[in-house]
Amino acid sequence: MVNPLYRLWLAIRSTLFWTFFLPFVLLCATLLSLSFFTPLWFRMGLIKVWIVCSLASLHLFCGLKYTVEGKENIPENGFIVMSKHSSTWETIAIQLFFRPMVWVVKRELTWIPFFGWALKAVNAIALDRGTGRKAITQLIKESQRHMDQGRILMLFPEGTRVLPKQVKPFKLGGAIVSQRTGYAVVPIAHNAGEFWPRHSWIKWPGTIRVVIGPPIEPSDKKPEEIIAEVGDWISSECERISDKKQLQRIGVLPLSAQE
Amino acid sequence: MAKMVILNRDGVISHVQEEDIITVDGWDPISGSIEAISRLKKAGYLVTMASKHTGIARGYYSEQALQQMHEKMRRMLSIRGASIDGIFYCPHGPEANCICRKPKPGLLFQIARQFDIDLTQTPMVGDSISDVGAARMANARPVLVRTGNGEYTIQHFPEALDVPVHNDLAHFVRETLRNK
Repeated sequence: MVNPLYRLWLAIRSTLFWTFFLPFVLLCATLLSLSFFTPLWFRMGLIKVWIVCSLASLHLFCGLKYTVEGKENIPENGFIVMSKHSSTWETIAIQLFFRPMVWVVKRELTWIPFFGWALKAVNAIALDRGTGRKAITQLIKESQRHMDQGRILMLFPEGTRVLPKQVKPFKLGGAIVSQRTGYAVVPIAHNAGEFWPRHSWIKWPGTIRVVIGPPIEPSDKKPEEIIAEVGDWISSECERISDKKQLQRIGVLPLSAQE
Repeated sequence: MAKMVILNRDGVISHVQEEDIITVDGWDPISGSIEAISRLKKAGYLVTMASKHTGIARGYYSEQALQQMHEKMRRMLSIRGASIDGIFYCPHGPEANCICRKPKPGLLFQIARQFDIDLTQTPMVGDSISDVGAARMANARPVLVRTGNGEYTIQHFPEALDVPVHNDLAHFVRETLRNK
């Protein structure tokens, strides 16, 4: 499939990326968690700088670029973003396309040194997923408060990064929030997982496609219907933008499918 | 042409209550806000209110309870010889996609139609980004106060960075009347 020498070359490039990226993340996360007393423009600027530099270094070291479609679908009011989760990439990039967001994360993430502190500094909602109903009540209350203030709720309904072609059920929590608070869901599809898959050292060169979908209104739908609509849109859109050649390179699609 | 100041209610005139436990008894003006409205009235301004009450759509409190809160406010104002010229509100939830829910400008346009005012000269005093958004879309003058959700808004929304900020309604009114 892929020439081993080429693979080595990609691994070297990814190593170069990490040697720049890791200290840079540590620096930014430290600054961010220490910056709670600074004015907003400083913190926003810091986050912007962090994202732009991260994406630029991916482009520079690994040849990984991206495009975004559907920015005209972004509502002005508060809303809920539900994104496909297949890579670390979207956790870095998504904030670039929207106004400041409130992230919904599992509580464990806020315990990670540096990264977790930064999450706390940007007011993420930390969910204790083991507590079931209580977690949902907490989520509804907190996210409603934030969205009534015009902020955007950000969550990954799959709950964790999913490998290409693998299917994980979409969790109901975000849809319950939409139905109870009345805020629409904006779905996001992308194929970052094909270029920077979970646990992969190599980041493949290419262009990640991100598609922001039209808002899905809760109207009088049940949460199950909302999440089904979100899931259908994301899955079919991910299928449409999937890079078949890249799937062959990473060995997800068999080579025989070529031509 | 008449001069007007448009106010958001919760967070500007009164303290913010948790939306699902808003009660008439719990409705409590921020200190100095009633006097501030009274000063505006004496200086010849029209004063109107433009609020959103999503709690009605969510079934947290009734329209009737809201009227009782308004009555309470009017009583407090009348003790100081003042009144409010118009109370406008949006009772809908976000899913209704109405034209009156801030940051949409519907309420402000409605006010402008009913009174003969120039919105471009009219401050909309609010504590939330939706107040700023509505003011901008209606081409009115957005103003933020630090009370209510004001501090949160100032801390979280880069789009509010260029909006004038006052400590509270009383402070805003003092400055406005001084600069006249």
